[in-house]
Amino acid sequence: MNGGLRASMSWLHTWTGLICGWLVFAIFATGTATVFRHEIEAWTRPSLSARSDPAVGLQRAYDHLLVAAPQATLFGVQATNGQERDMLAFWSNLDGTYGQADLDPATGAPAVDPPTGGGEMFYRFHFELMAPYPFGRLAACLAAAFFASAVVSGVITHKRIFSDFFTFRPEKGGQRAWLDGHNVLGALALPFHLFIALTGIVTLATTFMPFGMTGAYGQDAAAFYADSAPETRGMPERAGKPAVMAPLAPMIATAERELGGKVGRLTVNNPGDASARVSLHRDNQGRLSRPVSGAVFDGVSGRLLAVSPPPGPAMATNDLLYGLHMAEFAGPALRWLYFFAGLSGCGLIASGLVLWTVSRRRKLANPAKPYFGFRLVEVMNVGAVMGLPLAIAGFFWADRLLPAGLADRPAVEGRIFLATIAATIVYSALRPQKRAWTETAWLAAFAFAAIPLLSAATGGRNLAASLAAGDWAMVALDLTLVALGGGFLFMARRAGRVAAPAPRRAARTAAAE
Amino acid sequence: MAAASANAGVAYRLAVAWRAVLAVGANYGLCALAATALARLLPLAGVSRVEAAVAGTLVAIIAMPVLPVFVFAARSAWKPTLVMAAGAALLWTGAWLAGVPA
Amino acid sequence: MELLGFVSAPLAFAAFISAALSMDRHHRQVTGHACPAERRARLRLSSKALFVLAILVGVIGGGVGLVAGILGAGLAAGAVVTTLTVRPALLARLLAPRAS
Repeated sequence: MNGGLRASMSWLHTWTGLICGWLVFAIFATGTATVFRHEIEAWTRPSLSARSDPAVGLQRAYDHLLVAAPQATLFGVQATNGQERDMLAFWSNLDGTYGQADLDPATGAPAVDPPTGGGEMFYRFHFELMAPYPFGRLAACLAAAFFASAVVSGVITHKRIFSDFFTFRPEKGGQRAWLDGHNVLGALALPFHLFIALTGIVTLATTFMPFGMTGAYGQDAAAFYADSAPETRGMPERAGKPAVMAPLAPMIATAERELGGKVGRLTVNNPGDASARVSLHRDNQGRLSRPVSGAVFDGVSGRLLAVSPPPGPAMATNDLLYGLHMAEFAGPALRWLYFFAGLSGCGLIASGLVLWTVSRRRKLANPAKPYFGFRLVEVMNVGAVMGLPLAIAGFFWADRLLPAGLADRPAVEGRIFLATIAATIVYSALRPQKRAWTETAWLAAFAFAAIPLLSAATGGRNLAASLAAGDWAMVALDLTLVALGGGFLFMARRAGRVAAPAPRRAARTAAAE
Repeated sequence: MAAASANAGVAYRLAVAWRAVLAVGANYGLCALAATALARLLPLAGVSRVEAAVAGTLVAIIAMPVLPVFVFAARSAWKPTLVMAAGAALLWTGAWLAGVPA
Repeated sequence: MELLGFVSAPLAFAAFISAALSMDRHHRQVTGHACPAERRARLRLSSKALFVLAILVGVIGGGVGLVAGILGAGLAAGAVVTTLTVRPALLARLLAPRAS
């Protein structure tokens, strides 16, 4: 670390990058998939087709849940918007149990498809890593903090960031090509990488950095949450007197007038009780910040009780950062940009991880028998970089192939997802490094490209039918899966060529000269 | 990297380990203290409690990825150690004097 | 307003092309020789003007437009890199009247 600023930053970049690399890759890969979580959600539930008016869907869900969940002390429904086709509903019961379901906006009742994790699985893995609360979330935040550090130190390391901005020389091969690729990917989406890491921590701030909250409120977290959403303050205790609930439509009309936008979320406290309260919150279409602005009504009389005041500057900043991460404001075109930026992040991390081994392989005393740490990184690189795509494809396969009546079906899908990553790591440990890359890439190419065929053959979404029906979201999802397969095919062929013994390249160079 | 092979002695390894402790553990502690101190001190300046809590948290989150750069950029490990210790003492005192706002 | 962000991205793309071609290394990639001084000056000027325009459009788009602009610009730069690497001849056509 004596070699000046750049050398110390290079050191920091290398090691923070390596420490968090595999985890951040997993978070980026699933986060990129999460951009299209509503499409994946709809793909896994072929019975959902109609796009309905959110207000009508909410009304149906409200009517359904009042009858279907009489023991609920609280229930909430996320309305559909231009992107969603199901409504996620949750409720908590008098006896302290919880439930959740995906409701069909056409009926307000749970979707008839076999239970599935759907797009929600990628979303939750993205920040909880399928680990118990709060450890998964803490690990995700820690990884994000390491990643942000790696990005900052990477920028300082790269002294010719502007003159090398467009430089990618794959023909040079080896370390140079990997370094060029890594730099280009890093420079391209630099603003994205920084803000997505920081805003990611902001979304989990109360778990990872609760000290702002405890500093101002001591142990009284409830007071913090009440102050964060002041309109919800003073929710009455359950009266124990049954009452007929007011119809929802007039409340939605009033809320949309007061909030200046469409309603996106419904929460009912003490449904069916004299003390019932109905809260309606805005959706986030076309607004950067993720507002919590909402209106609260008396559930029995339907009278408007409170509207949330505009947030203060700090809260507004927080909402803005939160909103930038969730990208709920984004229409289809902007979500494609998020998707490609996410892919470039995956490429950045993958190339950085590979670069660690490429730059050290030449210095190995005995390349046939590398030291343990080197071999570990090699194995884990394949395990993470190929394991995640295989696991994502594996989820789609599992969703189509698992029997509909299987107990705990979404959890089994999740276990298959994790098992695929584990299997890739084991496989990578058993095979020579280059073979492991090539073979897993071939498998990924097949696994992704075959999904639309598998789906059509098993009664799921059908590309031809989607085309005929003009269901462009499902067409695009199927084609994206095929394109990902194509990407892995290219990678497999490329890796296969690089894996070929040196004479071939020498011959090619000789022929070129 | 060249430096790494040149003086990969115990002293060098200890120095790196110490900086890692500063960059991860002490960094988190310092940011937590900063969040606490801001959340407690800002209400004294008339900021609402919820605003102070959120402002403190945001400052801590933004500072966290930058501090390791400072820790590893310093020529000697003493400098970040002393600066962070002084910062922690200052923030601690401020937070302690202010107490949890009512 | 999101739309303006997407107007900003092609402007950034054009700005990046001008910037890349004003660099000897990339000019050589495209035409086989270094960038003449006079052309470099013109390319740099147009790249700056296009950048300013792209940023202005993004800022006017505001909020969502700006986010679209920033992400779009990154991908536009990626498109330039890809073109330079895979098909530099495509860019040679831009310079065709005076190049070669």
